[in-house]
Amino acid sequence: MNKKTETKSEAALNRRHFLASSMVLAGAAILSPAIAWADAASLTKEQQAFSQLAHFITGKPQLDEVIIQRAFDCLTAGNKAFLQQAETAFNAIKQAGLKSADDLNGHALMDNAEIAATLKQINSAFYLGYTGTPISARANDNTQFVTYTDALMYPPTADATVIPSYSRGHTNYWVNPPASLKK
Amino acid sequence: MSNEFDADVIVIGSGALGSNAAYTLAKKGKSVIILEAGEKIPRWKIVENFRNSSKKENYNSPYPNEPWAHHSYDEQYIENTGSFELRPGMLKLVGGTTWHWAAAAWRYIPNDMKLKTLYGVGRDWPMEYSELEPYYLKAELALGVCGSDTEDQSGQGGEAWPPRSGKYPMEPEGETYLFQRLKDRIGSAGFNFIHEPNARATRAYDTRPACSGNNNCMPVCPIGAMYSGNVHAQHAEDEGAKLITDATAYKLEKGPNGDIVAVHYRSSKGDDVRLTAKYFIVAAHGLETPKLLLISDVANSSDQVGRNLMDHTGMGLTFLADEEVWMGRGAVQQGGIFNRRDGEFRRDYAAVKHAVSNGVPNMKVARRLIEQGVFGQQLDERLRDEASRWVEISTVFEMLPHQSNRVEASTTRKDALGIPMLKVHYDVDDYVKAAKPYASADFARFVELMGGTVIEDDTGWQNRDHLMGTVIMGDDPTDSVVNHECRTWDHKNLFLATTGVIPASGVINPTLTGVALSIRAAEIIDREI
Repeated sequence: MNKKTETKSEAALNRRHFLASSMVLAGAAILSPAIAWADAASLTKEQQAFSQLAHFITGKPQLDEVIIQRAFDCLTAGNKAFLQQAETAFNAIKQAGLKSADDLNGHALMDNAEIAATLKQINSAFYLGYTGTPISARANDNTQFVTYTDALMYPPTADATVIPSYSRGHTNYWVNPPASLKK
Repeated sequence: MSNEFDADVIVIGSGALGSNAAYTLAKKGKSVIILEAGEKIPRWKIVENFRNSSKKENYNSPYPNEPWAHHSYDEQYIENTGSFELRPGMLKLVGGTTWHWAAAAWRYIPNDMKLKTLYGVGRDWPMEYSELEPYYLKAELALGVCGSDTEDQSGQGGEAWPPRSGKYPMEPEGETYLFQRLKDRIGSAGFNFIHEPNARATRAYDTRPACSGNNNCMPVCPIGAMYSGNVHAQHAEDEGAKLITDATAYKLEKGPNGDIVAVHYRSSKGDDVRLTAKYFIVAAHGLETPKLLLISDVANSSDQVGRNLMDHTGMGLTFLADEEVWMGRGAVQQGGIFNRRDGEFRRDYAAVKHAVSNGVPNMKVARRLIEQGVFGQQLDERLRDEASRWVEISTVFEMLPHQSNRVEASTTRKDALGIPMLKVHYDVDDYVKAAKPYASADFARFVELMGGTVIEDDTGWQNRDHLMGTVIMGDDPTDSVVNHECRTWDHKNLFLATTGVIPASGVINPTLTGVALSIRAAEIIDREI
């Protein structure tokens, strides 16, 4: 949220809409966030709503609340329209009656370019561990760090490949295929 | 130390080449000063920088980028004027760019050094392979290279080549499952897979542990199993060399008899220091070395300083195989396909090397799927499936030296010390372009043989960070900068330790050759002092 340019009334409106949307969505479809560290009372309504949206989009009930808040900070800092876009996505998911992240696959809702982009941005932050768009061979871009070892792109292959720089093996372990492939 | 000089030898640059030269001289009892523009940074800090970076695929990201010591991805560092944006990933810190080089440690083959004589293109080296061979062996010992003593590295499927006077210091690492599967299916169609000799320890070596497959050679090996120039910077210090960091050389001072009498450096704290020595070695990589010569107005009677810039300009292939091959187990690369490394075709078009990449592909796979709009359980399942079948080939082409491909000191951009930055003009030549159809045909065949589905097979030209030619070696003072000793023609006490001296690029990573030449130059200096 850009506090310099947004009026108090606009901010209040955003909070009301986003909160209302999230409560309906939470009641209809998704798990309540399992807050592991942060004090829920200290979070803004937008942060709590975003947390529920993140759980829904990733399909992961066990997201770390600290990482959720970092993703929230990065996404809102990088895009002043993000809160409004997230609210729009919320409403769309609610109206479509989606029950899980898998319902998004191939759904007509993804034909809406702005909604699709918002959902992908959120999904990307948790799977890739950063927000923004990298520019190769440059010192500066708009990327921001969200997480590394908790990036959701790693667990699906964790039995076969490492998170780079965290070897779990020993010299020449790689001559064999992963256990899942062994005859 | 001499009473008349600050040191016997001053080495400018603490990368693998400069540090090996410095160590060679210090070990023989010479007084040595090493000047480094950057700082000395412990490995753990770089590793933490990497783990906390939002730019995991940007190999310069974990390294310092100071206003007085830029890494090469800084937006202001290189001004490109040619059709190709040359932007190699170079670093400024103790140890230099071999902090993130993936450690390929190839030798040139004899034919690479006679390109003009054999194929009528480019330039010959001013020396024979047999003259360089003993120094290749020394370089392999210094870097702790593991390799195969039995393979034909020319890629022709013959006997062991090039000739060796001794075995590799270490046995090769085991073949990754990925390499085994590609070798079995693509190799059976006549493509010769060659193990890449590399400076990753396969057992404890020097100060380094054995590689355990962290799969992070680029941007930083977390355990130091992979060789980096900081190893010999430390060895040089342990032998008595004095390392001065935050010291950017900006002027080589000529004396009345044409010798270099001093180097001037500047620090970020405002120090301006003049140091004298009997000999000087500039080892500031293939762009900074010629720049220092140019702004000092030295060594350029041939007008070749900065010209003849070559990279192994490349392209890439990504596809999904029809079976699980599991890229990402072990080090980030292991070898490749070398059939086009040498042959009569080099009269007409560039030699080509196809290297098999082996980085954990999850970032690329996940990004692509997310962009396609895949969510939830389906995303996890497809991520696993595609990561298991993901194959990347990184291809390089042999570039020829051209007068117009050059680096100069910028006339419009200066760093925080007031020292000019770099201007580069680089065009990919017709020799490389003529080879592209052959590389593309290979790509199609690889995909076919692996029952594959193409993800990307036309990447456009890519940087490969192998800087050569900019202070070119030759046997004629009128068209080259240094002789076969890496001694500048114009100043008998000024040597250059950089891959920029290499006059014919071939297709192999030039670092080992640069180290071999640097050790050789240091031994020559040692005999003369």
